[in-house]
Amino acid sequence: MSNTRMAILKDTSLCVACYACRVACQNHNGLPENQKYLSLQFQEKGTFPNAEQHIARKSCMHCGDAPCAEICPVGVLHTNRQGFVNYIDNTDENCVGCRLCVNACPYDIPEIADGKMYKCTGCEELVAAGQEPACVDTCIANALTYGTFDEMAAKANSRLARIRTKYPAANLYGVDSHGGLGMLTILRTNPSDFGLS
Amino acid sequence: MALSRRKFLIIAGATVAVAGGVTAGIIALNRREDDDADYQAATDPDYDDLTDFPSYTETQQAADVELKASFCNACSSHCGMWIHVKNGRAWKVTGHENHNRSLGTLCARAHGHLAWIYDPGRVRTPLKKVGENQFEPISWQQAAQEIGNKLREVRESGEAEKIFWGHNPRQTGVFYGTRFMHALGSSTVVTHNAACNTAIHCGFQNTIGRQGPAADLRRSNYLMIIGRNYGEGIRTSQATQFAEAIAREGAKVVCVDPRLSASAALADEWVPIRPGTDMAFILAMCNVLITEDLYDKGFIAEYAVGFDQFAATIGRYTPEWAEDITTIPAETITRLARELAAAAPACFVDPSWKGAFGANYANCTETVRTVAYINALLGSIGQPGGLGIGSSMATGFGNLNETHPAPPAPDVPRLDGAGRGGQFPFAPTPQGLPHNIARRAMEEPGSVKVGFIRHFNPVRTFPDHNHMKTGFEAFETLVVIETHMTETALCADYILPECSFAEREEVVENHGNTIAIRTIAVDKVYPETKSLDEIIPMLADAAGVGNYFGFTLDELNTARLAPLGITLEEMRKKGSITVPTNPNSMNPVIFYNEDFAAAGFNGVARWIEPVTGFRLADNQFRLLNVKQGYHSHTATANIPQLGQITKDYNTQRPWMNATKAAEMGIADGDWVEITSPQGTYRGQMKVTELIHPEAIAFPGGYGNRTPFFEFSASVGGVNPNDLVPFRMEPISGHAMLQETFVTLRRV
Repeated sequence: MSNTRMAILKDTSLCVACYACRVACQNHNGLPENQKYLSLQFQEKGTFPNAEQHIARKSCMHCGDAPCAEICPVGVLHTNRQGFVNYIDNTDENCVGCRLCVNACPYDIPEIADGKMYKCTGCEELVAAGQEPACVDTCIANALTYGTFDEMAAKANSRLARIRTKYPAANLYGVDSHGGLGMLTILRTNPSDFGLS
Repeated sequence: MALSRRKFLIIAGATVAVAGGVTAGIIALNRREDDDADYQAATDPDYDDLTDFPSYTETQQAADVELKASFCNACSSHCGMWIHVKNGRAWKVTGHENHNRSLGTLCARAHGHLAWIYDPGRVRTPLKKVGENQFEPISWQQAAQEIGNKLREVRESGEAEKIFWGHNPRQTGVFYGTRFMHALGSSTVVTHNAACNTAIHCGFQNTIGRQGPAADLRRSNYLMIIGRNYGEGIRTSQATQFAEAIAREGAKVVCVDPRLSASAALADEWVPIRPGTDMAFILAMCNVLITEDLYDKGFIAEYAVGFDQFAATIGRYTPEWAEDITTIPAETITRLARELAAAAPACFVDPSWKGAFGANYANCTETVRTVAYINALLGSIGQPGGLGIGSSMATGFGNLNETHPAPPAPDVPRLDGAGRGGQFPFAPTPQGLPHNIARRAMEEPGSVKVGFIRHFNPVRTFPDHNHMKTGFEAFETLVVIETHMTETALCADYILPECSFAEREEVVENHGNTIAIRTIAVDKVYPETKSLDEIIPMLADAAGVGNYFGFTLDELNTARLAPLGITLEEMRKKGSITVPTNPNSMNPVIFYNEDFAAAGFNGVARWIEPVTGFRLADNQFRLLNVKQGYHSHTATANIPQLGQITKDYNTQRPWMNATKAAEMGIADGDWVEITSPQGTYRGQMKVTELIHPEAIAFPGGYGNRTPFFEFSASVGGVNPNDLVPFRMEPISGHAMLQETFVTLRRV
């Protein structure tokens, strides 16, 4: 298997916020209803009748320089062959729930339940078998796609040309952030509107 | 494997907690012992093993995954899917790649509704009513005997026409339910449509001569979508095609909606409109197309009937006239009409579904007729990228008529007044009017002898809960075939437990160029539950008409598939198969409808206002009953994964306009009293710029009244049906879901 860096691309200009991604992920990963690996954020802009609704996804961004993996005192986390930040051997058994990863994360992602940290793993067992992550596989609006980091960045840039005719601030977030993100996002508005820098 | 032991233990804990709560309600019932073998099986303590997550977890990690073909049951789209089964337990679902309604993906409801299989709140045995919300378990034998005796008595007294069947119309229920009614001597089958899209069916039937046209989203260059919300009123494939249109170079998507829905939020243009006035908007665009000579004269010459009569009425429908009614600027209306004409014929005004004019106002059937008119003016009907008229299987399903002839359709009046000779001659008869049956039962004692309801909850999904509940309780006997203790089930004299969608095989069904089957994916969790193909023959036997059901489901499906050259075994293995189709033929487009005129309605559709008008007094708002993509009406708020989305985002809140809210001193998240002539409810508001100042949008998925839906109760919310009175639209009889005003008061 190659070590080509992979990425999930979220195109928020196509997202209908149906949460198929969230529930497919919960089922695949065996999460109870009150835990999730991904959530959506919403920002209204403008005033009626010229109002807009903008969306961002909040989930592990799979940083290229993953500060969570770096700081973990028991070495539970690592960057895998797809470039996603996952548990070593796909298990969190050794996590001690010390919260160092929570504090180190630039995106405020990891959460703790029953004394252990949890977050999106990039569905390593699926992508290693040639399938897509569970969220991408079920997306009904083509808002999530999966491919190599370079393919996803190129795809995003061709989409942006059309989106910018209505949303001049539209941009691709994540190519240069924190060593490049495995979770790239097409935003119709400035990243700072969602607290992203 | 990503499933860690820790996570499964968390699930196990949560499940036990819920089980404790819900079963308490059932255990409180009087248990009744008898010697029925099924009843003994149902009381065997071992039969809860499948819901024991810790023991399941012990072995699941190493287990193989088996894919079982099925289709979703969370809404009536029935998207094809694979159920992934591990150790005999449904683990997850993925979209069936060959099913034309899923195209390989599934929405949140499909994933979430696996919970229905293992829900400890399932109906586990036949139940007989002993008091308000109180039922005692009885055997199948007793249930069939008592229901059968009642049916025999009704038939012997010559009153079989006072029996009816109500359901969400999909193949298994259509086959068994209709055949059962015909065998008994009744002609009445009713569905959910009168609270959904009956105006669509009636309006198109009486203009383009067929029901259910669908926009050709894939090939259109200009999509004008009025009220329809593809991203939240989801049929998976259409949501995908909508998103493809959003992304397509050269295509323009315009969403006309009082609210910036999740769909409108993605559109090239959002045109907010005053609720209930869509017809005025469409008529004004027709005015522009005709007065500016932009319409397709070739199409009109070839297909239109009575165009001149319509053209003679159009002069008064100017964009300025419509601006006053719709609040859309006249110049916007003119521009949009011109843009449509420039894109014609690869353009459409969307035929919609429930949306803005499926069953909302007194003018909905007339609005749908004008949608047909404008698509005819654009020459888009039946054209690539236009208003599609569909296709039909080149080779149809087979049947059992040679060996097992179907009972003839009895020539008796329908109980609901729908169809020729009835109170509502234009109400589509495959769909009917369940709310009118409720009215009759109350007003004419003895008029409804026996009602059967299967997996359908009209008592909650039609306006005016008191009307529906009182009416359904006034039937001499109500039998509900269900998996869960719904509001309608609570009105029943008998509740018969059906096994869940994953535990039963069903009649092979067809949608366009797809045929699909639901196979048995997992063993029955509650062994005493039965599938419909077992229940109906049992009831028919008891009623003395069992001779019409002397075949098995396997024999039926084999016969259906035979002309297609497909074996039942192949069908089960593949799940969904693409079959050849032929395009449907074009019919004339009826602008002037003689039947309507003869019945005292308008020959040509003319502007009419909602019953409640369209101008508001101070502190009055129009109510919108809107969809969210992760709920199917009130059927899903009790699914923890889906109800939790609502809780996490507080999306049970009605929306109101920010400027109006500021005038009234209401802030986002404030609690208010919401009042209509039907009553007063407390609700927490979402204050937003994304909605017309005159509207308040109520998500329709909340406000269950059954005490058996505990998670739903914790979600909260106000159901719009509680604010709307019982009404019937004069032409098609639909339930007019949005004909009311509401007022707000800060508390």
